[in-house]
Amino acid sequence: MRREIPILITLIVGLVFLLGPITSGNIPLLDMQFRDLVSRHLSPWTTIIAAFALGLASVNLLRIHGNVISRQRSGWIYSVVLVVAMLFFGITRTMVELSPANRELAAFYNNFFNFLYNPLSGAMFALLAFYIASAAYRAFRLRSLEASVLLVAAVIVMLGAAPIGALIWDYFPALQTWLLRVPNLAGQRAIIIGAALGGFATSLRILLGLERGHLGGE
Amino acid sequence: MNLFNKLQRIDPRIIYALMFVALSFPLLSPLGIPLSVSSMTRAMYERIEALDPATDVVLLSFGYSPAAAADIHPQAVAVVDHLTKRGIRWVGVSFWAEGPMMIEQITSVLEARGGRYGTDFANLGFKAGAENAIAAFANNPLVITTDFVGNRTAELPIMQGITHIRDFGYVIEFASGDPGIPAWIRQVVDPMGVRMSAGAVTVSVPQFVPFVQSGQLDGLLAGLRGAAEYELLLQAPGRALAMMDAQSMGHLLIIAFILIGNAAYLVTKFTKKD
Amino acid sequence: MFSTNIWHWVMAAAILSIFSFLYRENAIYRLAEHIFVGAAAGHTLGMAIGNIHRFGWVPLTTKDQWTLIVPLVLGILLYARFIKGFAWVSRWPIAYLVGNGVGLSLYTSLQSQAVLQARASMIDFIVHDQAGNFLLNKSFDNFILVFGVLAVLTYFIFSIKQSAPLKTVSHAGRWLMMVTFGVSFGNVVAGRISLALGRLVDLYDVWLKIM
Repeated sequence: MRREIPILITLIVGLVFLLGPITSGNIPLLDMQFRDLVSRHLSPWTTIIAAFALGLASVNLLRIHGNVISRQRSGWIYSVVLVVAMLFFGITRTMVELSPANRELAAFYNNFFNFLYNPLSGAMFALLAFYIASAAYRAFRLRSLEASVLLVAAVIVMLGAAPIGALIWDYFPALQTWLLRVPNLAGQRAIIIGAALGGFATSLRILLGLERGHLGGE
Repeated sequence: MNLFNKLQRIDPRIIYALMFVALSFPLLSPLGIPLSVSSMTRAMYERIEALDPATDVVLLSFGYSPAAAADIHPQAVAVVDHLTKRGIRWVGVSFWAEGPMMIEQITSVLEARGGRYGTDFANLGFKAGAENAIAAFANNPLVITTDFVGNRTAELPIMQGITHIRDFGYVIEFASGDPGIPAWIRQVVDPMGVRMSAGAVTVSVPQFVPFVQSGQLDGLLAGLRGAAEYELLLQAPGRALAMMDAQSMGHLLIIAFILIGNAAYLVTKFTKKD
Repeated sequence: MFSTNIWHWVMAAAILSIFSFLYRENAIYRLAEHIFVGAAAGHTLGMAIGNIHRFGWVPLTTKDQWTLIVPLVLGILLYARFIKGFAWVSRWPIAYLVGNGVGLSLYTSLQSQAVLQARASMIDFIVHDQAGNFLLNKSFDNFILVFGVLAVLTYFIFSIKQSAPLKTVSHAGRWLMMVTFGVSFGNVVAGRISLALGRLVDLYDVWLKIM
């Protein structure tokens, strides 16, 4: 029953959410429509369970780094820093959430979020600009005709998207727009349609219990 | 040929340094390269121009975190600037954990300039559940019972008369990932017949162009360039416009790297064959 | 020159410590990286607790919505995965979330992303303006659009052996995808540069005040 009950849960919940927007008329015994069952009960349940799921990653991090600290593994000092940062942000944010009218506490937290977390996060992803420059130099090679087509399209888009492209050649912006609105649109649309059809098939398989990857191993 | 071999094995830190200089120089000494406005940006602008400040309240959904903020936050700032100039009220909501903080960065500035929280704008905070939360909110915005600062949502002056997403005058989503634009289109635009525009990070723009062509999106702001174009339309040059020269230099440098790298590769390849 | 706001200095230190990785990995970078990960996890945890309180605990205790005990218990069961021997219990809330996601998107994704997108591809090959003049540009674009969608979709037909003329159409789809990916790549480059520019503006304008 360890696998059968979750499969049944997936089927029942999935069917209720599926039938909600496309049916009218009351569910027998419950005397309410599927859409009402969704909006009054199941949808709020999802918010709460999803909120618990959000905390899962944080708790797992605490567990892993707590382990590193307790066994004083290599780099345990950094784990201490991580745990302290997590506890500081977690506890302060929780206090703000539980008493949102306390604007002084909110302002205190905002400073750390805006001037510590915000720039750290932004800078982490800003590194990608430098990596892509390095990759452009070292890895983007015209090894085949298809790769050449890809690269030429990319170069036209880069020149068209940047204001300087129009200074180099009047038609770069128009060419970039055409590439985006015609061939790219066709390719992306086909991918969207294909993904939707594939997603539909996979969703049906999950609903019917044929796909059980989300349940994990024994 | 030794030179081309050396070029292929150049220290990456030299590349990083060149990139740093190429991006920094135009920021400190602007070049003033003119910018054109795309039809997708203009479409969103005109949609907001057509709103009635007396009756319309706009819903802004902030679907991004600080990681992508450099590319997309200037869009939100420009759009809020437009709404404020036209006297149009707006409500911010987020289905991302960091979203409300991004809204707060904007509302705190507006409050400092005399804007009235709860009347001119509001921050409804974060609701977990991704696409489910979007659907639930769309069916009844008051499902978020308290806003980000603890007020009862139903008692906010700006939320009076709003019981369904159709009661908002317009919807704009700023998205950098999932839940994002496709979720809004699936749960709100198509089933409920709601009109919507979006701002997307540059990386995602190509995949959302089909939704503009199909009419599921009215307009689409394309990353930082979209924000710069919007500032141009507003005639209010800001942060995004200031970065466009540097964006140009960055692109030119990347193209130069591709050309030099491939030249070195091809020369080395053909001399090896000999 | 130089801001006198301590927080701007904190911001600059954060940015520069991450950027120091470009020279080489160092202790300052690792410190900053761990602070970032901890802060991200802590913020998410705090917001999650806020949601549980706002949408679960408060309605349960003040509005007598006793059915909310079910998701609260299911949510707690998610953490059973950390307890040896009881990890299987965490499948129940996962099954709920998966069922929710599947049910919500099964019909809607088909409608919005398959049907309506396909309908938007049903456009005229031969386009005239209001005066009745043939528009070559628009007709050509529309032809590329329609043929392109079909060609790329054909490329992904794996259930039958493709021979000419299907193979020819499939090859055309492959070439079109190269253009599509090239456009995506160009946008990726632009997007990454934007991210770096944001931080540089913080350094030059907010911290150093030299912009």
